[in-house]
Amino acid sequence: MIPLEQQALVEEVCQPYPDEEIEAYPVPKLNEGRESLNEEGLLESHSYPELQRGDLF
Amino acid sequence: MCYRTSYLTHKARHYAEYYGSNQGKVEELEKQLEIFKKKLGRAMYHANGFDHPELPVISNDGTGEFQLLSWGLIPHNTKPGDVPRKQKQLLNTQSEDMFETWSYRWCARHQRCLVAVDGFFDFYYFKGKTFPHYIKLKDNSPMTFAGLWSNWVNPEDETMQRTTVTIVTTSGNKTLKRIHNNPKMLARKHSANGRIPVIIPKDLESRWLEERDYNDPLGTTSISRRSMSTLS
Repeated sequence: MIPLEQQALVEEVCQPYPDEEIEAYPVPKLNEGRESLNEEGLLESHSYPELQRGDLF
Repeated sequence: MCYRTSYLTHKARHYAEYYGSNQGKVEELEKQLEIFKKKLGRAMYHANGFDHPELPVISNDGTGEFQLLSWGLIPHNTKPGDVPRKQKQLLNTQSEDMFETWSYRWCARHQRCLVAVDGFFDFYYFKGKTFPHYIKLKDNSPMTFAGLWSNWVNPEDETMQRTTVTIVTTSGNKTLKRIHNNPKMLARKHSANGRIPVIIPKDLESRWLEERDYNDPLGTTSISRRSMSTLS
């Protein structure tokens, strides 16, 4: 059993971040057809024909 | 779970203004981050944890300064032959048992830190394929992960030292639960709702970094900050 103080820290800080402040979107494959994995475009939204938006959101 | 992230993709000023407590500190952090960006040689649009890239970290040494620490914790008592395996195992640690797990409970108690990133990647599983997703804050501010750091000294050669960091995770929120849906991942311990890095809001950063005397039943006595060198 861990001390109350440590438990309090976990309960106070280690919570899932609020959904409304986070956004998530599909991005290009990390290892397919890219010369570099560090291209800026990697972080841009990408659409997959086989993945309809409704499948996830 | 968090094995891939992006960081230092914006101007150094972007991070310095977020983490600097006053104008002087902002200037200082900006210069420091410019040096780090030059050292890394590129903006890290995608960093794979299994390559053990160096992440920008603010530790609880009290200086409020950034350091670049290798991703993947090497606990101080790791045998030299176990270092590669251990570092791969400890890219993440679960908050639920960080104070109890023998190999890094010391770090949880005394060596916590903030990891400054822009966002991270997770994989959506659909009809046998995985699709990468990028997760970031809507307001584009830096995303601060909770971390634990460790300084490992090779017992066979004390000139060899590695300072490393692991990212602390917690149960997934609604968004991450939808994305992080690979059945194999969900079957792991504490993972029924998926896993998400612990993202620390600005007002809780100092709470995460502060060190208290855990023998104090009221938990109200702060003890002095220790430098990384004295803890190693």
